[in-house]
Amino acid sequence: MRHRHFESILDECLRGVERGESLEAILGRHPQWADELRPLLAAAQRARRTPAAKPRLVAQQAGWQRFMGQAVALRRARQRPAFALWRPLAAAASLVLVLSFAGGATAYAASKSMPDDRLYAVKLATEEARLWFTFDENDRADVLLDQADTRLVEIGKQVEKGDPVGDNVLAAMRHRMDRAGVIIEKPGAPTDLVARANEVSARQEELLVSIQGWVSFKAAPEYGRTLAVVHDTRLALRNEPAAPSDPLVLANGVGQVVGRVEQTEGGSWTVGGVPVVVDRSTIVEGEAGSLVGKVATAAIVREGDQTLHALTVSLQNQGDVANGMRIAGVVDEVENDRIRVGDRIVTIDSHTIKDGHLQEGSQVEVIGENAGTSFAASIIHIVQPGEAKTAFAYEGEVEQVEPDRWLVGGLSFEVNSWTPVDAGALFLEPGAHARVEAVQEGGALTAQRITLLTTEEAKDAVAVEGVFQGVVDNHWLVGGLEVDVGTSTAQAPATDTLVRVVGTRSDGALAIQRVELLPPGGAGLVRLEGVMTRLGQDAWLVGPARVQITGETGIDGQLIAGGRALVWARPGLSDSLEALYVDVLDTQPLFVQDSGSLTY
Amino acid sequence: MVVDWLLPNGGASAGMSVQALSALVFAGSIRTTAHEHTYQSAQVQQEEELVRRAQQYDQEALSWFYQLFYPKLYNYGCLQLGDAQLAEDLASEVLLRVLESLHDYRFRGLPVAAWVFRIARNYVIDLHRRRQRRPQVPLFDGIPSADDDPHALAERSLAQKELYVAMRDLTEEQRQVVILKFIEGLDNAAVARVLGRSEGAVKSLQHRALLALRKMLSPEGTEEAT
Repeated sequence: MRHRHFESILDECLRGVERGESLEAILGRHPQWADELRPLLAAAQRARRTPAAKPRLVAQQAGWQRFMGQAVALRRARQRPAFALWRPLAAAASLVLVLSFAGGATAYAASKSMPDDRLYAVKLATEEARLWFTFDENDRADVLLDQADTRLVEIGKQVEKGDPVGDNVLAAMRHRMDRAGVIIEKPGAPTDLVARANEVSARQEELLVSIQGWVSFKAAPEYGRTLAVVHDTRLALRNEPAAPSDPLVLANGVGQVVGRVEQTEGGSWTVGGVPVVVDRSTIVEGEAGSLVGKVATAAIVREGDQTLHALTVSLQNQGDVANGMRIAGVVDEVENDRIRVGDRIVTIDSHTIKDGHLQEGSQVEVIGENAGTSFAASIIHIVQPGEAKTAFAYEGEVEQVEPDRWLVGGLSFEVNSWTPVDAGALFLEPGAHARVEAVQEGGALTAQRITLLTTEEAKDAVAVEGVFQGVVDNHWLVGGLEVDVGTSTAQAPATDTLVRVVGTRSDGALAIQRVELLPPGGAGLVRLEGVMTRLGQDAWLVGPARVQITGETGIDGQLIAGGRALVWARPGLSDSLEALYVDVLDTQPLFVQDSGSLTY
Repeated sequence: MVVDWLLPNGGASAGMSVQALSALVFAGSIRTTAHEHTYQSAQVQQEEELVRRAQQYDQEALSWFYQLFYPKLYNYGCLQLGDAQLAEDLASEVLLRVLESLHDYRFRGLPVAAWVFRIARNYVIDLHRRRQRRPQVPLFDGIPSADDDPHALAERSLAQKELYVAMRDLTEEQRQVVILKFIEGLDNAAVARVLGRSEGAVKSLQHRALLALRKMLSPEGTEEAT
């Protein structure tokens, strides 16, 4: 009773403070409670005087545009005829009518529509209609996962057409995953549904990371939001309590570092020597147990403070490493679900990303992995005419690493958040050498991929690889890169040949030691990049492909089991490829080969 | 309807009638004054009129609505979640939810803020339930604001951080009472509406919240009160 009385007095006093009365005047009315009231009123005043946080104008403005956009849509919806009140039923009835009287032509056409089609909104609405008649919650989650999966296929087709990925398809994927997540994250969700959600969300994250180069500028914020929902759903499905992902950080792009995982004494992590933050919001895929010492691929984002934060760390077992490969060559044959590149069968499924139309004669680069008797493609890049003239590879010592720039062998390369870095078994440390695959764009050199090399070359040793385009004022033009050859007397190769120029840097010029002619591109020829496994005296696997070394094979470096290599090859007599040229990237193996098999 | 896609600035694009109404509502929507009954009655009528116009998607009324509640919800989000990004999301999402339910809103004599903050509270509860996040104190290194000098920003940030940290040990309902009553200025009836509790329960929560806050807020800060 005393309590109730005091609470009322306190409340009356608080109102007095709010009216602007002085504390002493208020307490004077309740002298017997003054000692108890004073600190409470002071605490209330303290809270009341806390200045309000001010929102950012840009965020408020963005919110206003969404708000008004929604207001306009709602206003229009309200202006529709009375049956708008029965919208779900009416829409479903309309759908039935369309199917009955129009032979389903509109719905059918819509079902085939793509995100940039006018009927795409109808397709999404039709999907919604299906959900209205799915009453079981778990069934609804299953349908939502199906619909989210459809968005993956649509994105793949957009990329194939060469269209930028827009925000509508990304938003549609996000909404569906978000709603599915709410159901599946509840305790007691069926295990098969949880497993499926895990599988779908993992595939989505992989795809979203892969297609970031095709996302339109306008869609970048939605890209960040979608990736955040997908990643957070994956965390929630693992019951991993972690801070929500920041869509703005994700919108800037996701990079990749491949290398051996180490932990410093201070507890921080490195992947291939690159410092990476690994915390509870990082998803670790692969074998259980300690990460330390294992080779992994880390998907990383750059936080506002420039630290690299790992979204996922995928541990690579020896099979992953040995089976992964990149191949490049000319398409000899195209079928529905496969192409043939230099005698290799490359299989394609609905999740393969292609950035153009595949046809016989297309020059392609394929990233994928061994799938039994064939090679399963995850990404196929169709090389455009003239692309080779602005693309080159450069090898040299890593002199400086900054968030947006690497200095390698005296050349400055711009890097993005998503530039992949493959450290293999190596560490990014002073004296490391790297191979930078780059393009020249408007005078700037942009790195597209960086591979750390083990090399016993001299500190100032460099190499440049690309299509030789001619000599201008003592400069060789190789893949768009002007190389000052100083006083070198090496004979210039023929124009349009693929060359590898090896030498040393001296006073800003390249003192050429040798010029190697690489096999020209063309039908039947492939370039492979993968880990080498010795099968016999001259028989090797490069990734999953069998390669035969002959007396005619040019070899740069020492062939080493478990090391990475670039190999130019052509079909041989058996199912092996005949190596024409091998560029060995490592002097130490990623794994130790023991009795014909790879082990850690 | 012609829609101006720019953020309305201080009512420059709003008509006088809305300005006049909103000025009145801004000043006292949630406070009780010496002439509280007369004033409240006029204020409630004016707020009701603005809400009625917003329900017709009148742009000026919507602009008033947005300008009034976005900063309040952002501040509420910062104090509830301790993260500027999450607070921005909260402000935007809650206003969209408000917009979607606006047509069904029925005026019952309480400030419209009670309804808006009830939606905001549900949003926060959903967020915590869905994410099952560990408590985060990631921010208050400075909530970004373009129009502040660094000194003012630092001072504000420090004061907010102190309150946020002090409130972490309060129960969810106690925290709601502190924010809604002392920061957002709602009266007991409105707070009771947000929480779905009686006014007596709000008084009790208020008492316990202040007892806990008294221990946690710095002595310098609390002694300043006069």
